Amino acid sequence: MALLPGAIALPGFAADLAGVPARGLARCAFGGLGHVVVDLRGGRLLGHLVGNLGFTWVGDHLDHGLPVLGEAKRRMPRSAGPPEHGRAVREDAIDDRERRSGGERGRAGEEGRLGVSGAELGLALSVFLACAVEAVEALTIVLAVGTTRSWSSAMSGVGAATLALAALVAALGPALTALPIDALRVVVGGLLLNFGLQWLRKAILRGAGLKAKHDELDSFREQTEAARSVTGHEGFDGYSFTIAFKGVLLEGLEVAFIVLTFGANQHDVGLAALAAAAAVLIVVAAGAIARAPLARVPENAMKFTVGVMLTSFGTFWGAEGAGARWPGGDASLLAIVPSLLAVSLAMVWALARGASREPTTGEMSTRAAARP
Amino acid sequence: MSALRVLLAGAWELVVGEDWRTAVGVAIALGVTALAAGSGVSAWWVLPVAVLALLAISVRHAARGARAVAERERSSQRP
Repeated sequence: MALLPGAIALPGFAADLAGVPARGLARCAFGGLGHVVVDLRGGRLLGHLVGNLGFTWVGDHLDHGLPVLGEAKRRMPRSAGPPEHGRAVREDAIDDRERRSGGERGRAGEEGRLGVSGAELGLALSVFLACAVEAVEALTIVLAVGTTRSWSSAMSGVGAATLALAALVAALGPALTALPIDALRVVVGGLLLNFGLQWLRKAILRGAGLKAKHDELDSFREQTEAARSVTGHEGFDGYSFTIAFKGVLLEGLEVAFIVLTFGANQHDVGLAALAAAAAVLIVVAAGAIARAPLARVPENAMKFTVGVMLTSFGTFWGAEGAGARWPGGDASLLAIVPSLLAVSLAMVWALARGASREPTTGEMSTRAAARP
Repeated sequence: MSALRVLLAGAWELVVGEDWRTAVGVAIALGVTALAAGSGVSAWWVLPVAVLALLAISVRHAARGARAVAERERSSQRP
């Protein structure tokens, strides 16, 4: 401790440092100048000066002392510390918040004039983009089942998932990140995969002329009648509800995780939540606009697309939940969807080609397609 | 009792669907992915390959079934 040069020039520093544990982080006041975060590791004392002077210094007090602190002020920008000083840089984030709320001078004053700091802008943009991706994934599923099966049931699923999500967030708060998201991904992914493969199989058969175009509608009517007789809810479609519910709940949880992890890391959960809300609202508005054009897409083409989308998302979430890591993360969906679409279209082509070679099958196809 | 049966049938339809082989295949593929990922092997490709194989098998099986039904219909219509 006697080697610390700062103790002479900066009153208060030595006194505060006396309470620093032998290993670990501590913050020591520099009087009116700010403070130092010290990290005692392996006998080396690392200093991290932040505060009203508006710069960060990460270095070794024992080697350099105060004269070098003056040099560092000119040469080293904020957050310019080497990677091994990650803990100290995180402390810097705390100081950022404190400086913002404290009405301080210098750099903080510049940020105040601009209205938002670079760190805040980076946080908001990161959360916005990440949440927009999750919201688009949920929207795709809701649009798919809503357009092809039942809007009312799909929206009921969305509402129920939103309520469940709100209850989870309210009940667990930051502990939400302890939920087993991978287990959820496996369950939701596996079920979506199963649904998707069934939809896709039927759509391929229809596309090849081996299945009647409207049999799904008949089946849906039968299920609706059965559901009505059991539950008394007229027109309730369990498929639409379940798929929309699971999709929105899973993606909503991911949005909540993003807000909590990004926000907590930068000590600004409020801003992260605001950016997430903006992303979700914009995506929902885009979905409302896209709903009308989607309704004009031919029925079987839409069912084909739904099959491809459910299978793709099921594959993505299922593998991710099982512990696999996709190359490129969420961007891998941009490869999964077109690849599956191409393979499915190739299957339609191969089946239709086989059918056209067999006159008897061709007749059957025509009859099947002409069925009401 | 009939309501319970309808609900159970609905649950089966929801989880398993028309082709139980696909459901079993999906479960096995997820298990293999988890095992591979757990042992440190790059496992992202397991599920896509399994999905394509399951889709091909399921479509082939359903196409055969559809052709067989059509053949029976034709036979019954013959004088």
